[in-house]
Amino acid sequence: AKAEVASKRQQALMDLLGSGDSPLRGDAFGFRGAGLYGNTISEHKRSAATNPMNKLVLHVHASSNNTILSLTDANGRVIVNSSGGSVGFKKAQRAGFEAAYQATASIVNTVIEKNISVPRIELRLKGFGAGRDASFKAITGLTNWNVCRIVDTTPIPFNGCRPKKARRL
Amino acid sequence: MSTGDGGGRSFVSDSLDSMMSRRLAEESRKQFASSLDKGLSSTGAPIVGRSVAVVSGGPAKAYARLNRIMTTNNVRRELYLRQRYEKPKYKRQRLRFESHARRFKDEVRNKVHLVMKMKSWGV
Repeated sequence: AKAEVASKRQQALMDLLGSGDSPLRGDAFGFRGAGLYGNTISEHKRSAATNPMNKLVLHVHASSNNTILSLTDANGRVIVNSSGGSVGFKKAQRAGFEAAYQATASIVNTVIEKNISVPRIELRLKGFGAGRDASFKAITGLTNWNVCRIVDTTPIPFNGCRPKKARRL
Repeated sequence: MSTGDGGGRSFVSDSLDSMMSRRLAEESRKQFASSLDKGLSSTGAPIVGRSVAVVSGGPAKAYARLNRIMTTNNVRRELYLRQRYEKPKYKRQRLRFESHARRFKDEVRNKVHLVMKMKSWGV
């Protein structure tokens, strides 16, 4: 009976993911009730224009040691995660081109398996590692997704925190 | 909010004011929640300048444009310099050296262009 319930839930989740409705309920803070100042989300289903699943965002954190990828909805709530280590690479090899390419491929496969429709996708690149180029090549090469925007999100301080001291002192 | 005292405010107007303020707060909260759905450009975040929309050329051209923006603004080099703290003495040295090199190269470029022009005039 437990297995039946679990499989039913699984089926419901697959239907939900495939229908284009976000599986994530509530507003951006996960708040679903009626707050002190009223509801932040309307009772009705979100209109097609403002549905956050209309535009998916692929966050690529390409550091010098690893590449971490997150596929989220427009509000930034994560759907799939992947990284150089999660596709079987170890230590220094996680930083390479191949690891990032395979990590992006794994995200693509997960999306296809779960029947998530990708109307538009935005690419947010952070860092200058090998994964920056690799993820872009994988997305454009392995899929026919409509890439609507490419953004660079590397955190550039406007003279913020003091970095570590110079080496060899 | 003191009741009873003050310039003749009735109970009704107090409740109306609180309703208005609650309504305004609710509207502003809804606006904030909906603004999270909007694109980057409306937020005015510091990454607006590094955001390239993909239009006719395709994603490859947009990516090339983004790379050009990053190189012309020396983002990569700046990040590399910021990895380790550069003491003010060395920073001044470096800036002086860079400025001198830039001026020297400009002068050389001007002279070379002038010589090429004079060649074309037949001098």
